[in-house]
Amino acid sequence: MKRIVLTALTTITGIVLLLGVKSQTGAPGLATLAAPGAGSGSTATKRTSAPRATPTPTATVTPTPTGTPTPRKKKLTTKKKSSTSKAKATPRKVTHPRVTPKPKPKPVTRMKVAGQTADTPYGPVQVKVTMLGHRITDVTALQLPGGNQRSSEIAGFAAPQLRKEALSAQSAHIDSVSGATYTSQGYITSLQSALDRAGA
Amino acid sequence: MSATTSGSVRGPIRHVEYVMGTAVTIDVRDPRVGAGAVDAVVSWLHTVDATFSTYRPDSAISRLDRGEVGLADCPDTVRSVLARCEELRVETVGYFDPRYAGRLDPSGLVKGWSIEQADQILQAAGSRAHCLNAGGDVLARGRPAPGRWWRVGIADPRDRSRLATVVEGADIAVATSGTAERGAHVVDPRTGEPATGWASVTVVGPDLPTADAYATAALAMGDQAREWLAGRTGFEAYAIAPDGATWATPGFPR
Repeated sequence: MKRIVLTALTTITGIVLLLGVKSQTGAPGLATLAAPGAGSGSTATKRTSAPRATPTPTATVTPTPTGTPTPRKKKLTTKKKSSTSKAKATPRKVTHPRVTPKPKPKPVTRMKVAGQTADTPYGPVQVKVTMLGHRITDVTALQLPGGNQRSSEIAGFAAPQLRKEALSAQSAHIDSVSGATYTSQGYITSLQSALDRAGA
Repeated sequence: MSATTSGSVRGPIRHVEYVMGTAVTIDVRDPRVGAGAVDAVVSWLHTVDATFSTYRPDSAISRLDRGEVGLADCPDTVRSVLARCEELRVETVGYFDPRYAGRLDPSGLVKGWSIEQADQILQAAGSRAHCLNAGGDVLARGRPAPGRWWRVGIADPRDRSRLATVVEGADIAVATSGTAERGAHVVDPRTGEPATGWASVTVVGPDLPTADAYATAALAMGDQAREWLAGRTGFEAYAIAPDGATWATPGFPR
C-alpha cells in the first residue's frame, strides 16, 4: 500500500456536516427519508454559516420502523450480461421467448473463525463467527463473563441480542454503532477480530 | 490484528484496540494510509490512558487528584482537557461536572477528546476517510466510499438487538449516553440520584468531546434537556424515553 503523506488542510473547523439545517439559518435542510438498506442518492453540500463560522450540519436519518433493519439478501452470484441480442428492425415472429441460461452460482466457502479473547471489566469475552463467503451467517459466544451474578446477568443480556445486532447491522450496511458499552464492546472486539481473521 | 485487503482494491485497515476501559475501533478506508498511522493512533490512545486513567494510581490525573502534583507539573494535555471540562461545566449549568462526588474524573470528556486527537493524527497521515468508535462514541471523517455517507446505527436502549434509527452523514460525531446495559450510571449532580428521565440520549454534531458531554449532561437533566438541547447551535439530538417514546430536536430529520 502506498503512503502519500499530505499535510492536513482540513481541521475540525473545516468540517462539512450533514445534519438538518436549523431553521434560524433560513436555509432549507437537506433531509431524505429512505427505506432501510436503500442508499440515498443525496450529495453533500458545503455550507458556511455566518455566526461563529461553524459548519451547518446536514444529514439524513433513516428511521427504522421496526427498529431492525431488514436484511438485504446479497446475491452471491456474479452478474453476467445476458446474451440476448437487440431485435433488428425487421420483425420476426417469436414463438418462444428466449431463455438465457442462468449463470451457475460460484461455490461459496463456509468457515468458522474464532475471535480473540477480549478482556472486559466483567471478564473475558470471545466469539466465533460463521461466514458464508463474505456474509456473517452466525455469531456465537465461546466465552462470556461469569463468576458473579451481576456479570452473568449482563452477559446473558448482551450476548444473544448482540448476536442479532451484528447480523442485522451487517445486512443494513451499518458502518458503526453508537451506544454500546463494556460487555457489548468486548463482544464487538472479539467479533471484529474474528472478521479480520476471516478476511471479511 | 489489522486486516488489509490485497491488490488495488480499496483496502480498509481495521483495528480494534482495548484501551481506556473500552474497545476502540479504528477503521481507515482511505487507501493511501498505511498501518503506521494506525499504530500511531494506538500508541496515542495508550498514552491518554496512562495520563488520564482514574484506575491507575500513577496517572497524572490520579496524582493531581491526591494533591501530589500541581496543575503546572502535569502534561499540557491535562490542562487543556480540564479547561475544556470547565467550559462545558458552565455551559451545561453544572450537569457535566468532572469534580462531582469530590473526585477529579474527566473521563466523560477524555474518551471523545482522545478520539478527536486520533482523528487529527489520521488526517495528518493523509487520511480523508476513516471512522473511529470508542465504546459507542463515533467520529466518522469524510465518506466511506465515493457517493456514500457513513451510516451510524443508534442502538435501541430497550432492545439492544435493534437499532432505533440510523444517522447518515459525512464528517459527523455521534455520541450516545444511556442507562442501557450497566443500569443507571449517570447521576444528576444536583440531587445525587441516578438519572431516569431518558433511556438514552444521542447527540450528533461537528465535534465528539462536546457531543459526548452534551449527551451525558442531557441524560442527567431529564425532561429539561429538551429546551437545553434545542439551544445548542450546530448540534442535533435524539432521545429515547424508558417507555420507548422518542424526542428529537427540530433539525434532526426523522
